Amino acid sequence: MIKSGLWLLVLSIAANHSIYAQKTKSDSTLETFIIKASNNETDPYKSTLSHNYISRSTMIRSQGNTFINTLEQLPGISSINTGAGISKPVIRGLSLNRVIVNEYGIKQEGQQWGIDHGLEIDQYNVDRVEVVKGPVCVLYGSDGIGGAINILQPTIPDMDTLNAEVTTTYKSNNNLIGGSVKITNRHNRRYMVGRVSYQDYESYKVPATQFEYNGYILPIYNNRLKNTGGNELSFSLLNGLDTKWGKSSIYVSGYFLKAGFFTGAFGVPRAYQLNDDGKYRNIAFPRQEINHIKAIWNTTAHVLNGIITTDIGYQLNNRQELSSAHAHGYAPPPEGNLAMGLILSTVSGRSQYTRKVTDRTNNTAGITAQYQHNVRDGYEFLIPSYSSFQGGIFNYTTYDITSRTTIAAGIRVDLATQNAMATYVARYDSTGQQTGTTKRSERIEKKYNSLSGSVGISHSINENVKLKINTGSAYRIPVIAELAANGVHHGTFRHEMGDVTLNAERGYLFDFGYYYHKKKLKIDFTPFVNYFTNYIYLSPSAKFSLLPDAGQIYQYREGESVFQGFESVIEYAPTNNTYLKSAIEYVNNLNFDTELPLPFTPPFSWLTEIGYQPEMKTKKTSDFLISVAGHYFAPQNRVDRNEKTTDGYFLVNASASISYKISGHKLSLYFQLRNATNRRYINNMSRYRILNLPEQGINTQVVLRLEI
Amino acid sequence: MRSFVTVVLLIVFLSACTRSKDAKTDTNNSTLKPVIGISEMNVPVISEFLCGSIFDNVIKINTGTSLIMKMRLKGGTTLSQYKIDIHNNFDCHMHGAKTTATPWQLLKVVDLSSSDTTVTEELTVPADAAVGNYHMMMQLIDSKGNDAPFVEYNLIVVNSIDPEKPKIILTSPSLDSFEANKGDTILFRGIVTDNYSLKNGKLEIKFADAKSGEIYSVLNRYFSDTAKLSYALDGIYIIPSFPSGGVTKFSITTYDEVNNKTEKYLKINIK
Repeated sequence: MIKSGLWLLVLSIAANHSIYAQKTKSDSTLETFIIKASNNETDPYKSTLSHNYISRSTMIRSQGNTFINTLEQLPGISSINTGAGISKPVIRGLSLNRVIVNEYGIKQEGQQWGIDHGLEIDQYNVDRVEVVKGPVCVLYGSDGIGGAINILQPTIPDMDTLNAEVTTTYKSNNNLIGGSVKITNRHNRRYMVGRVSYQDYESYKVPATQFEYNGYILPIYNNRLKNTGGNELSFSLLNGLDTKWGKSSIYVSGYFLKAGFFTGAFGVPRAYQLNDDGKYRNIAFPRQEINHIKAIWNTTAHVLNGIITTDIGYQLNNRQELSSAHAHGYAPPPEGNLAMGLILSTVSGRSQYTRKVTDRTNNTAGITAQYQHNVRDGYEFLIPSYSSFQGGIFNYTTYDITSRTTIAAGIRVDLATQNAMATYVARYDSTGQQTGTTKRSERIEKKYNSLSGSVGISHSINENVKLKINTGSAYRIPVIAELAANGVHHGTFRHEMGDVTLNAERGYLFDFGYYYHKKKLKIDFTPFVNYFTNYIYLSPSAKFSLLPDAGQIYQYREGESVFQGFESVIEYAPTNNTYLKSAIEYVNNLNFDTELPLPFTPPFSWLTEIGYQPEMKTKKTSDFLISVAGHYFAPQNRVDRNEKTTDGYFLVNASASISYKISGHKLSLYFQLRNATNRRYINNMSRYRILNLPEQGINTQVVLRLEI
Repeated sequence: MRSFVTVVLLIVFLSACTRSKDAKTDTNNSTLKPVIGISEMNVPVISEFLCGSIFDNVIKINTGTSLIMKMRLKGGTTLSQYKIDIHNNFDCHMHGAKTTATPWQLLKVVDLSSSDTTVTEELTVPADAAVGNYHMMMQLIDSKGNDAPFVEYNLIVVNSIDPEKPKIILTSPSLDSFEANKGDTILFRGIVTDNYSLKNGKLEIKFADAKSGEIYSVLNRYFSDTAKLSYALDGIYIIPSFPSGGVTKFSITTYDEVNNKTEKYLKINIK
């Protein structure tokens, strides 16, 4: 897999036949670009929706373990984590296939349905990102329920430049050593952005020497969670052409992750498995190995009095969950250690045409299509091999009623099909002889069609106050796991069972926004209510699995549910060089069938941050910023059946950063202290919550960035 | 500011519409966990050293005899099922261990209909069951899907006729600890004896890489179905180039007919 990725890279470098030696100084205005980009790029019709941006410098300055952990500082964003290297996005309590991540307009596809399946994105490689919350199904199709995280193309390099950037990272908690090299180049109309990143980390440290599981006290030797180390390698190359009529680019990337699971995470943890072998950097079983290779072609053309953008992408996601093979039931011990292998190929395309119809009316019409093919492998059956097709057309119009009031309305039609063969696995008698086969999944031939719509209004009451109201329908076709899973999911160690009769998930989203922006004071208040007529959830059933080593069956069901909550951000600048920030998030949900909350709901949280950014007296230093933040997480007592309640906790983080000019180059130093009080806490959004494992302890991070 | 208040009131109103009920016993949303209580057992529960740790939930039982236990099963609502799962832990749940003597395996799910009941389980160990360490797990769920904290015992099954382990005497290598170079040939020579029978038994030699801890197979010898009371070991191993080097632990494990096991270790400093 790595080989084929490198081959793609070589091919792409060959295509970029000109690399010029001329160079100029890099431009530090890059950092402020995000806000500018939002005004002139891609989607004018988003104006009624709530969207957040995060700048490159903020991303580096407050870097978390993963890209999604770094995004968590945005209001309404949280994550479901498995250790220190695997995380997936949650927007307003909605996760898995309810959050879309688009990279350069192409939706990331990598088995998002699994809670231990992380997002395959190199965080060094994210230059510009926006998060759109609220009803975005009309724009992005199935799965755009919680919202969308859009990773935007990097800014096009300045004319006739060749620049390089080297970033190195050290994190004390798990002795993470990482580095990333970026090269950008432009000559005339052609430009290139290339990057290679690598990081390697040990098992992480927790402020605990033992944990309690089902009444047993188990050891954590030397404060290390055994086998939680990993490594990550990624590369990307963007080749573009910037012309009068528009721009066109080809992007290829590869992401390779190898990450260990805590030794006792599968099945019942035993003390003897947890002995400290001193091999903190070794990644033994169980572990996952993920390869994600991508090629994307983006074109933006200024034609027909408007803009036509076309994005075409191919992705290959190869997921391997590896485990020491041991005999289950009467079956002979399996050959090899591949418990579950899933190879997913996705071809996607999107084309949209945006034009100004009148002075007051903007219209965007578009078409999207996606084809997927998944092949399964390994000795544990969970989901069958399948193929699926999704296609949709949409139209979105914004109309300025007055200079202060804009309305937006969209409509979308989607079609989808899913096909899978019935799957049979071998059955054995007590002597280990195969006696026949057992059907583990039914044949699937499903068709869906959907009509979605959304309406929004944005109104400026005066120059400081803006109100936004959006409502729309949500739509998501069930993923194959929800229809056909039937086996012990290696990542969760539960027997999960799909239901082939499930319908497409549907709901209605209501989203409000109050924005008060004055020079020194900014208040954003964004409440929401999302109602689902048939939310698909995994529910503990009253029946035991007949598979060995498994407890009760967890059954996928659909039912009415509601999510509601708000984000509130207040930013205040008492002087020219200090700021105070307070951000509150809350999500409350209820499953009407069980009359209980849904699992993995983020707790109420309140972040308070104080920052100081003095004017620099010399020209050699700049960007000095020091900040301290306190983050309170309330207890999560609203839990689903068989989900544990979690105590509240308070975390202290601090950061400092500064840049130096050294003979025309810029050297930036970012220092961060996370969980400064080494607080022992349990996070209800962690895969390891069920084992009562505490989270990462104190972590000192140093990032050095040299721009040449 | 008035608009702000309006928005706040709206959200408060919407929240009030969907307030959840508090968890109570015997309502749909009761999350009270059922409980398994073991009130009587015909075999004592002891502490024993297993897989490198002390366990205080150990039951020793002979093949062909029965374990009788009384369980009180109690829930906040009607109970649905209990499950008993007995499977071997011969390899301390590390990697595949295939024995010629058949391991005992039990997977039993029983339906329940009341919210409080006492059941008596009589579990007979098959006379020909492979001996060794087994896990016995009891699980319980109620009709809402609430699961009980599981109850687990470590069973040590002892053969009634042959409780004795086989013996290994190595004549080569003659030292338990020595140095060797990659490419060197190690001669494994010696004798395995058993008081009862070595029929269908085996001998396995493995080593754990000094750095990665990964286990590699060195030699496997399967005793024939006519094997008697002794087996003469004679084999060579050429140290390959892939081990990381350093002090490497080799294990020599032998099993008799009923799966009684003896282990012997060598420490070879690979240069």
